[in-house]
Amino acid sequence: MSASSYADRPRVDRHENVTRYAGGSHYDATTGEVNGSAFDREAKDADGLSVNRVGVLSRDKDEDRASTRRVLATRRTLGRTAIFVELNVGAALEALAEFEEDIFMCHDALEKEGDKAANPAHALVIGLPFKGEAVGSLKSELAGDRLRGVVCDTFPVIVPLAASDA
Amino acid sequence: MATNSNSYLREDQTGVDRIGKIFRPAQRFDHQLMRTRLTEEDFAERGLRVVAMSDVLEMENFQSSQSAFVSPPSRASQWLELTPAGEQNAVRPVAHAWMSIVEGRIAELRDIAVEEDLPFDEESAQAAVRFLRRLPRARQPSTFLVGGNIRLVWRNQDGEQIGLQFRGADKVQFVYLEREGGDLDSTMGLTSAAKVMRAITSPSMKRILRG
Repeated sequence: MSASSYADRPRVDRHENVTRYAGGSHYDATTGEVNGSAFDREAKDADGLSVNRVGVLSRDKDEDRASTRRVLATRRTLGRTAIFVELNVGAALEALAEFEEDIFMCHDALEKEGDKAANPAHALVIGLPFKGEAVGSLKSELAGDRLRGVVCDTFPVIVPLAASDA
Repeated sequence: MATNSNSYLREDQTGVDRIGKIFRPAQRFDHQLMRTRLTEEDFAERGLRVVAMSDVLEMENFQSSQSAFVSPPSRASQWLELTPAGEQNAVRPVAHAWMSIVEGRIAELRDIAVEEDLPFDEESAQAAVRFLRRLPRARQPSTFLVGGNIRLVWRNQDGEQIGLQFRGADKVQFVYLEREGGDLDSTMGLTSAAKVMRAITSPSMKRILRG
């Protein structure tokens, strides 16, 4: 679908937060740092950048995160060193303003599909990744670095079992 | 590359030319050829450069620091000198305590690339390690894999950063974010490792390296 076909979709409110899955190549556990490449093109980003709206699966933060993990586990392979990065929608769009591109976030709830769980929290960042830009290009890298600058939280994708659960 | 160096008589020596004229010290010199496998970029990374004698004579500091063995005007000669940045920074590599951690992280990225079917460019990885081994005092960078290339990032508490993506053996794509007043200004491009080394070890940027 083209970007214009998402133009009529409900927008994600600027006050909301969203999370993005970032594989281990984008997260260095030895320094605790995330790279802007977490917001660059992935194979699954067909029409835009996939994100999940915080607080849709549950109003409880821990349960919301656990639900996000469960839903995503049915839709993709979760990397053992991957994390989720969280950012505010308004801050993210402001960080990208210098590129003067039409970038917005819209709802894109996903229906159950075979073994893949429904994901009512799914949303898309339309306008990213930049059209015609290769992964890791200068423009993509700067955009990623700007977004990285407004990341407000990170949490692990794989949660180790507590000792009491063993 | 080859450089020519002039050797001069010591003060206690004299010589005689072909027509019997006696030379005083510092007036007779023999050309000696010095060869090296180092490239100009190797020199540049260490804050050195090769300059022609005519340029040396123009330098202010040459006038005030003339050696007893140098006597202008001289035949064509090349000098190995410190660059201005080299004089200021005396760029000298150090053995970093965190080097094994970064090499371990690069090995982990190689494994992740296999697990997730991502590209991994060995030339990029080697170039990144080579660069770090030549770096003077710095904190440990964060290390990532981007489109098959290794990217090193230093960020400080102010959000400023040095981001270097190693594209093959010698090209580095850089994204610098530096705070100017309230804004984080960006500088970015693609250049050689030697030029990046000079830039990030300059007085204005090494604070980001060191934290």
